[in-house]
Amino acid sequence: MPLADRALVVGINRYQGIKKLCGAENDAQNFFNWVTHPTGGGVDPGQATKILSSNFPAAASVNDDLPAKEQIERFFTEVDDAADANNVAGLGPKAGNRVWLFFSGHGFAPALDTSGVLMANATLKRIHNIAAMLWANRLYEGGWFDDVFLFQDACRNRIPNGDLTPPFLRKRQAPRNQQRRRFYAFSAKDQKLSVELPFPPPNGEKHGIFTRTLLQGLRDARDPRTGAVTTTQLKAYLQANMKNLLPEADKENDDFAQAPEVFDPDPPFDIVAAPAAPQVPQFPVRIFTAAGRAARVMDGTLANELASENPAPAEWVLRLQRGLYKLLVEGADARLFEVAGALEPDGSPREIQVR
Amino acid sequence: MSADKTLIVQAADEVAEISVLNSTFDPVARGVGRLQQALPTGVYKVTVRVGPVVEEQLVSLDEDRTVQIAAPEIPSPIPFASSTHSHSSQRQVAISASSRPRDVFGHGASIFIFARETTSEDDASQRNPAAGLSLLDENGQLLCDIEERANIGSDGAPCAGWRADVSPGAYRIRLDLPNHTSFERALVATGGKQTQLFMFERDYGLPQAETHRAADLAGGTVVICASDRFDPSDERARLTELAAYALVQKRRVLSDGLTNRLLDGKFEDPMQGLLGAHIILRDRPEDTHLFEVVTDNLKRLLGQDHPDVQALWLRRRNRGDVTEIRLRTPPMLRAGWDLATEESVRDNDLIPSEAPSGTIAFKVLAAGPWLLWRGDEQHEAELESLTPDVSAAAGPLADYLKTRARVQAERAPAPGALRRLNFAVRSLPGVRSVVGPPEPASPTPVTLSVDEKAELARTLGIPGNAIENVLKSFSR
Repeated sequence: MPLADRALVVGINRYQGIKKLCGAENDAQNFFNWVTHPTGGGVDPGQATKILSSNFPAAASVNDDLPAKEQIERFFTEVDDAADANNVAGLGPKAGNRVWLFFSGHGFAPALDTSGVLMANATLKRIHNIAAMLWANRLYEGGWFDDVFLFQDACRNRIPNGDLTPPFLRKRQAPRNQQRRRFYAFSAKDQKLSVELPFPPPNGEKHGIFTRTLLQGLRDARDPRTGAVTTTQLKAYLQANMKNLLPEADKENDDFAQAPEVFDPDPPFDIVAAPAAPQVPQFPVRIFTAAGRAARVMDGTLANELASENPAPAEWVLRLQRGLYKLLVEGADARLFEVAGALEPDGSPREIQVR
Repeated sequence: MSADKTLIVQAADEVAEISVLNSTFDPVARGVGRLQQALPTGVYKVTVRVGPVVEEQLVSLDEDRTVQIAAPEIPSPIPFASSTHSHSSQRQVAISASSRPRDVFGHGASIFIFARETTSEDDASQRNPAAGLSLLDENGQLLCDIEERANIGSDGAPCAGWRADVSPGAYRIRLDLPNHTSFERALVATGGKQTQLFMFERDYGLPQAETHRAADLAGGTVVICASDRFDPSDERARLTELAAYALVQKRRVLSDGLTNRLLDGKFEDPMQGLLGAHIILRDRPEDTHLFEVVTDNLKRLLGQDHPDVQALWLRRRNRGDVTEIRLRTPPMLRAGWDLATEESVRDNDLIPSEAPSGTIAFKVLAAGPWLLWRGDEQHEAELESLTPDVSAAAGPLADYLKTRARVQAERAPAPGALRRLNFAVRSLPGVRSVVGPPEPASPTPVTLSVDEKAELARTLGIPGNAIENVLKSFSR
């Protein structure tokens, strides 16, 4: 299928040489479901490669455990083959319009572009890994795709930093007239640890809080004007909401990643187009006011009154879209509040309380 | 439509990254250190990032407003008052230990090592934060077991400090872990200054899912101090910490204030100048004048023989009277090593293989911003135990070449070429043991372009002469 969107989704739970994980494969499966859904990423399932550690039998020796790098690198070879075929067919030297790269497992990230995702055969001495951002950059710079998305939910360990290997696809320059864009998001940065938790607590299926927030954002972080999920909306959603899934005690622990690292060097663009009938989600807001006072809620432009009550009840419940708002209460200081669109662990909208 | 209003955001940190989002979370303004922007009336979210710390504030811009952002606590191993988890007892230990040499190996400069815990949990108080640390000379010979010699502070969160007077020159700090893994990094002592290394404690993964707590060597911050002791009230090194973060995490922090400070050479800590020079190379590569002024200032402060200065000098268009550069000792910054290895592809003698810098060729690890390499004997033994053909090609370089050969063999367009490539693949160690010896045929050498070698050098941290040796061994 020429110029098809493609996806590589990798989830590794089984690490004989390190600590095993519980949520990486769940995350990969959920992302695969989203990226291949017609209203999600829209990738044809035939063009999406899903690699889970459970796809392979456990090897007797960790050195033989799979997936290793070779299983991942096969995808990039196929991408290059597709680009060659398209070039021969007169469609230009690119493999497709969009590529989605998703990795979930152990990893390390001493710096933004030297992060690695560990393979199943990694040990503390031989830290076999895929340099995900180096690969994403190679595909972007060479114009193998117009849009490159990379999501990495890794760094779930205290492993020392490993060696990185640059991509084996030869560097090339994209055609001058090709418009290229990229958007990357990483669960952790600067040696922080990513967290996986049960959803719903306490005994639900385990998921990384980054992927959980990412998939919520890909669904709900819609621009209220257009209904599309844009890069800026998704970035704001990730940065505002990932920490909300952490237990309170873990928020005090400097070792745990509180916010993702997002790399979005290009002007904003649509990640998910607006549906035919845009439905921008709304979230519950509970405003506590002194009884008997008039109150108004202004939108973020301060030009439009969205709601008013005179007198406002002591607990005034509204539903608002994601955004910034101003509460004006008679005889009291104005209050500013944000509706970030956070969800509870069970997936229900989290109530914003304005006091 | 109402007239625009002016929003001014003034941060205490001159490298604070300021961004302003409108009520629908679209970015509408950016700045470093200070921002002044005319914006329509509305509610805005001001986000200020100082290193890894992000602070947010909602602002109602219904009139001109000025927002002052105080300096937040940052997670720095330097025990300033403004560092997170900083304890006064640790500051006292650092002052005391940095003031008096515990050991003397020379004169003219000093080295101060400080490692600290962040909590005072019961089990932490029993540990020596300097466990596993030692000082080596530039050739890797042991000078001192710091663990045995450090002053330990156990009042509250434990810490350990150790100072040695040394002759100016290159040294190494080594960390040994119980599983016989070790890491090293460079520490360059400058005449008339104290080179200080501050580290947090962190957990290291061990086999059987155990962890071991020891100094975070890779994350330790280096300060080059004009005085001969640590001063917790002097928070100018905070800028060093933030500049190091910015370099590694690709943050754009080159404010006018920072630029002017670099131009004037008035960086209180020469490490600021080194970091600033790398940030200039990355963010303003076209500003060669600025880069040359900064590197001239660094040469004056640190000397031409300082390996970090040498590495930066490689990128100068005008090298002045420096006609030949030989990087004999590793620099402290990974960015400097990357400059050197990339240049070494074109100048094979830049990193002499027999020099201390050449001996770390295959041991450099992905880390930032400091240059870190494996130093354990186990790793050495692994390299030496392999056959001569591959002893120089261990690790990721071998993996890369094998993958290239395999991919090219799979795509060979014609039987003759296929045979040649097949021979090349089957000749590779590792492959041979699986598929048997190659058929007798003319081997095809594995070739890489200069750009590909430079990328390998930069990513793997391997000098050009080492890459050439590996390629030759694969072609035999």
